[in-house]
Amino acid sequence: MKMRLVLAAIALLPALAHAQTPAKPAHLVTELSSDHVDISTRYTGDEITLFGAMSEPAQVVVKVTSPTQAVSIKQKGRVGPFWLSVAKYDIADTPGLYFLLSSAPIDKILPATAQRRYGLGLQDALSGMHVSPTPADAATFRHALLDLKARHHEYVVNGQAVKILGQRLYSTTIKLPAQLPLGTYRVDIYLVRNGQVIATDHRQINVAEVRIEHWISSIADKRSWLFGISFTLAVMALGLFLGVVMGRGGKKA
Amino acid sequence: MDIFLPIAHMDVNLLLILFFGAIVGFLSGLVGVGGGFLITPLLLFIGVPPLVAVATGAAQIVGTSASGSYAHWRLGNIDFRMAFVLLVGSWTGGAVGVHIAQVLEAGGHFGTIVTFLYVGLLGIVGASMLIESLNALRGSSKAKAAKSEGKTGQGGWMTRLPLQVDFPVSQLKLSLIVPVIIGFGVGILTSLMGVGGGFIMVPVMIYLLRMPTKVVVGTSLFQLLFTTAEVSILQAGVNHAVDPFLALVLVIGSALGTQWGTKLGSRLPGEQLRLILALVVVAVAVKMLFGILIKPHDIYSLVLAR
Repeated sequence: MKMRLVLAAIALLPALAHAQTPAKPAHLVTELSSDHVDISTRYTGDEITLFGAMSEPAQVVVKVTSPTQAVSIKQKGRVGPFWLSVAKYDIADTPGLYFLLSSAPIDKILPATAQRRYGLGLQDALSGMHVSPTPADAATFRHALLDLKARHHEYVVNGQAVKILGQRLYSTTIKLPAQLPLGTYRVDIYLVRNGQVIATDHRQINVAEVRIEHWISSIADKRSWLFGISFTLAVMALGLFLGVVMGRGGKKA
Repeated sequence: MDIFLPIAHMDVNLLLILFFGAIVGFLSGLVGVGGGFLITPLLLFIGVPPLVAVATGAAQIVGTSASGSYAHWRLGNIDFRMAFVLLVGSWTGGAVGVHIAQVLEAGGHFGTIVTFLYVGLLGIVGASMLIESLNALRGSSKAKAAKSEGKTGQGGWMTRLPLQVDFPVSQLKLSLIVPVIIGFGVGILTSLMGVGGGFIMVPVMIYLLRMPTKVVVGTSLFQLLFTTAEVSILQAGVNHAVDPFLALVLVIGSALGTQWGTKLGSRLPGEQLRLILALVVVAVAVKMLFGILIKPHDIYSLVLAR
């Protein structure tokens, strides 16, 4: 697999050959091992390999942003002798997944101003966040959210995730968790040299539910009454059927 | 063999869920109790969101009680008039309970309430089963004496209530108010805990309503089937909380387990079996209690908004 990708990346090199002629700006080409993810019942996570070639030796930063996903944070606290949920915060307009993968720690290769300009960093991921009710201690809350997202591997910042081979090829792996928002994921690739972004590229990954899974979950969600009635009747029928089939083999009629 | 649950939003091992269904079916085949009150705690232990665990538990009982109800109907063991009066109460209770669940979930308190209800219920059920089976093991004469004692006391207050109605199948004259209120309570339990309530309904029918033993199990099962069906529909419709894959796998598992349990149960001594079940129930209650007594590892937790 890896070898094949490397070969594919090498095959991309001629595309850059023209770039070698002077005065041509730096640029990069990128390919994904797959540009779509099919969510079926058996889907429990996926890996997408991103690989490409660059016109000159540089560092590479890859940013993956998923569509937004509404989540809640529950806070536990002491109530008498018990530890119970004491507060719940609804969080809207934050990406479900946010990966910032680079070939070196981002702070070492790009100054803060440039990071902000290109939206590279967790601050940027949370820039559109709305929380209700407003938490009393915003900093602690933010920290807790980022900590939880990191632990669920939903927000990942990794300064060693992009591998550079022979100064011209790069590759990295995007690890998608089992639970993820549907829709179009944006993949932005930045070529960085001397503290500046010298070229960018972008790709998309389309995450969609397939066939029967899509049908079931959209019915359960959008036509919940129809789903409730037909599913309950189906379970009743299944129970009757199993009872009849198995009753025949075993006990008294 | 992992599958992704579309409503619970998590991946689980299919065989583990099948195993849960089989355990609960096995226990109910072995000792004759419903066992629905073990499904929800087991689902909670593996991280299924509380509302989904409770709603799916109700749907699962629809499947497991269907064939039993049909068998009792064929045998004529159902007092339909009584069942319908109970259903008036339990359907109302179920609808009220599902809306209470919705409000509690929106405020983030549903999990807490469920935990408390389960600790209380399993504690009481487990302790009384433990006492009963220990008494039975020590000498069956004492237990019998206790039973007949309980039977003597149908209070005069029940005959003085208005709306007295004849129940010919059960050979009773009874105020409608009593079964409606009992049904209401069971409906609330089904919607907030995902249990069928047979473990409450059966003793109430025998000792309080004084129905003939012959129709008690059939009537309770029939009433329970339609109460859980109503709650399952409402939980899906209002709360979007019934997970189809989880429910189906549990139903299949428990059907297998019940067969196995019934066969084994006829060969093993009943008192010891009840003792084992009582210990299981108490252990689950204690584990849930510790879950809220011990300082949690994480003060904050992340859940998907629904």
